[in-house]
Amino acid sequence: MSSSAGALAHHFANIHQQRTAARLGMWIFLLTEVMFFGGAIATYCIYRTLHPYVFEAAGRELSKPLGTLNTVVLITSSLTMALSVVAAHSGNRRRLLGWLAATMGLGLVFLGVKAIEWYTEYAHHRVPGLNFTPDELGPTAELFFACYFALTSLHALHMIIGLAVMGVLVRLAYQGRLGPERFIPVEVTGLYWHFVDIVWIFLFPLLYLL
Amino acid sequence: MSAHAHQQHDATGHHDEAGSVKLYVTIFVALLVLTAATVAASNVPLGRWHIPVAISIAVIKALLVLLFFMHLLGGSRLQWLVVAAAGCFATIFVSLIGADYASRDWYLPPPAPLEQQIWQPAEIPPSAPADKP
Repeated sequence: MSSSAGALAHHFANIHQQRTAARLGMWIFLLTEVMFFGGAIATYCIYRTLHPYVFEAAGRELSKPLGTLNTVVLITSSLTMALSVVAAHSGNRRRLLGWLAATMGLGLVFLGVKAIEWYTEYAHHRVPGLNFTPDELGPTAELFFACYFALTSLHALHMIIGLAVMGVLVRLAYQGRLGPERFIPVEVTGLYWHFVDIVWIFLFPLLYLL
Repeated sequence: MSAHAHQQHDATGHHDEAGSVKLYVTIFVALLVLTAATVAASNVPLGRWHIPVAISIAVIKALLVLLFFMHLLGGSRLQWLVVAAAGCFATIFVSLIGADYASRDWYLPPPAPLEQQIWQPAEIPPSAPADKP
């Protein structure tokens, strides 16, 4: 199966229709993801409105420098992902592999920083259901940390899925099965990765800054 | 980056290689500047303007990613339709959740006059229908 002959599935009239359909499918999936994260973020915002002082004080316990670092890391990984798509379009296999590896590396750095933060919160007895111990902020702070862990772990799960998909892309690229005729897998993975970036763009100020 | 090169591709908004790399790096720098701006704004005493400023910057950053990294700019009309549908439905759902929480204490029965409260247990509202015989 050569990359050009195998690119068109039999149920599409031509390659353009197939590409449009693939892109549209990813956009519709991302629409459902907007509903998913929208509900979770709305929950956080409502509890924050109901308990403004405790939520603000509990949010200050998070590390602003680490949150900022992770934001920069994720934005940079969006850039390298966009450059992977450019490399796939132009059929430059070495650059495609390089940019994909860079994106995966940055994604792993993000998860590593996140793990350090989670460990710090565990050490401070701030994990609801595991070791949460109320301090002078009272039991309502548990609500903040429940929202915080729910939102950041759902986001991290999306990143892990993205990294797994990129692992498949690296394999395909290494085998020479991605190129100017078959770049859609890279492109739709890029769409997903940028969406995960957008989710963090909202989570960062909501959790760390406000 | 010419409109010509764009037309030759199938409604993807892809430009020539050097042009798109330059565009992506510009957007990347803009995102970094906005991140620095939102962190700086959180350290300044803005009072009640903290939330509007942070949300506005986040919306601008999200739009930059959406329009340029995700190629919504120059994307097909179907893509715009999907994004518009996502925006409309998210707005409807979040508005209804907000309306629910905001209005929960609007229609509680008015408190009974003080002299009645002395004689009636608090759990039974004054307007409660009488039990059937």
